[in-house]
Amino acid sequence: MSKGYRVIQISILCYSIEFEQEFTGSIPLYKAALLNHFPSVLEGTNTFNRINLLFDQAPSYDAIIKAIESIAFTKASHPVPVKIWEVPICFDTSFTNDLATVYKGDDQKIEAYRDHFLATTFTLEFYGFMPGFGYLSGLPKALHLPRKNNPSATLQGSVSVGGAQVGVYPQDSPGGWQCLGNCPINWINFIKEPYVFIAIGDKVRFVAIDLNTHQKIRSEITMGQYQPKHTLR
Amino acid sequence: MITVESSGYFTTIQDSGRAGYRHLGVPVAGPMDRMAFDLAINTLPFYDDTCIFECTLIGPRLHLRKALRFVVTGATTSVLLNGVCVAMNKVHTAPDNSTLELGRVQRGIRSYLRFEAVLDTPVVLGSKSFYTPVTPNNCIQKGDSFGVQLPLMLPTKNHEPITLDQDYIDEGELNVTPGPDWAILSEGQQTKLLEETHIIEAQNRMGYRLSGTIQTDTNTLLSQLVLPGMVQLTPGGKLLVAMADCQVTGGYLQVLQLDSKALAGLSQQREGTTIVFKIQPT
Repeated sequence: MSKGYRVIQISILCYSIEFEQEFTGSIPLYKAALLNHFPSVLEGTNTFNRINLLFDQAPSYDAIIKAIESIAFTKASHPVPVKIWEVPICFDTSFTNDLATVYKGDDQKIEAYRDHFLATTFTLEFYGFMPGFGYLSGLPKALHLPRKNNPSATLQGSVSVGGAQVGVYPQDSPGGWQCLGNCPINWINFIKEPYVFIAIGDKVRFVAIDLNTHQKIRSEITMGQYQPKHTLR
Repeated sequence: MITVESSGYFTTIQDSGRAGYRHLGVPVAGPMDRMAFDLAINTLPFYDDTCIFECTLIGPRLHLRKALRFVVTGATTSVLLNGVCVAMNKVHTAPDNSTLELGRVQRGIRSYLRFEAVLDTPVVLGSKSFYTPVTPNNCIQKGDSFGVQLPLMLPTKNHEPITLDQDYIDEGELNVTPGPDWAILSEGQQTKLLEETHIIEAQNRMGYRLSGTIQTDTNTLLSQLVLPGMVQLTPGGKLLVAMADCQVTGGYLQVLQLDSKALAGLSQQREGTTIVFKIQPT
């Protein structure tokens, strides 16, 4: 993998391009270039380290390699402007708090974990697992948590950590990640565009709110009056 | 108007699927058995709508207020039009105020009932295919009713004569190609996976779980794209075959990929059936 990438044929109609770590930060940029190069792509998606191209009539493996080599894969020289979203999280005791189990009720350690978490800026890498479940990267190593041995019922809005990954459950679901608190915002809607407000590559910071604010945001969402907050970078 | 008098065991409405929304984490959905679906569409080609009832194990009983043409394909089942048995894979006309009832399946598990009409059910993200929470319901219920719109534009020429191939429905040998993580398995594990027979332990529209004995210790993979037909190996040795409603990403080893005919065939097999994989050169 000396070129920084390798091409994997997933099925006869799907190729993935896997990048070495130093290039993964520019995946949204490369994806746009590849979609531009292959107008016949039905769908282009990405994960942490791969771009996936789905065709209804696929080019040959060699044609894919040739096309990729015509696109210069370099680290983006200047950062692309992205939005930084302020996403509310409520640590009220009425929501599941798996940190209590992880740290055996040690309030000081729980407090320290939350402070570090709130000081962290995450990047939305891709959506997967279930509709509107965004995979966030950027969790500092000290905050990595092991997955649960057995999945348990996880509520809609649960802000959760699985290993190095962070995500918010858009619906109730069995889940194996550790729940930190609850986010009142709907990350996806199926009615009108944009279906998700946080784009791939955008940054996310969590902001602590109390239960009253959580309820207020929920009712604003029901009334269609809530607007997620962001700044530009 | 089509009114559901009895829902059957698990009946959904599917069109060709919700392609183009994987980047939001939304599964493609669509029919489990695309061969039976295509057969029904080609038998009754109606350009305005590709909606179809996908019936599992026991079919529904429907009341049709107005005359409609229909066809039933896929798993063999009794089709009763006003109490009279009619043939599958052939177009019939139900007169006004008909009762149409699909019975229990005999060969295969999923039958497809297509009407020549637009079914009034919500289009969400470009598709009418049932999948909660994208659509309100995951299957039809007794008492549901669907408005129908008769054809605006009928085909101008007759369809090609149908060559009926039903053997895929109980084909126990599934053609596969190596998946992206095939090379991670040792040669011994690869041989074992292909020589073993696998029992279908559980199945639904998301996936088929098959028995297996290969233990691996790779359980820290990054989540990657999952496609219908992908055979995934869990750390516990079970095999999970991704089907129409599969999650769009997953972190299990992706060892094999079914071809489209094997995928259609597997979707007709029930719990307790044994299958083997037959690898095709790439």
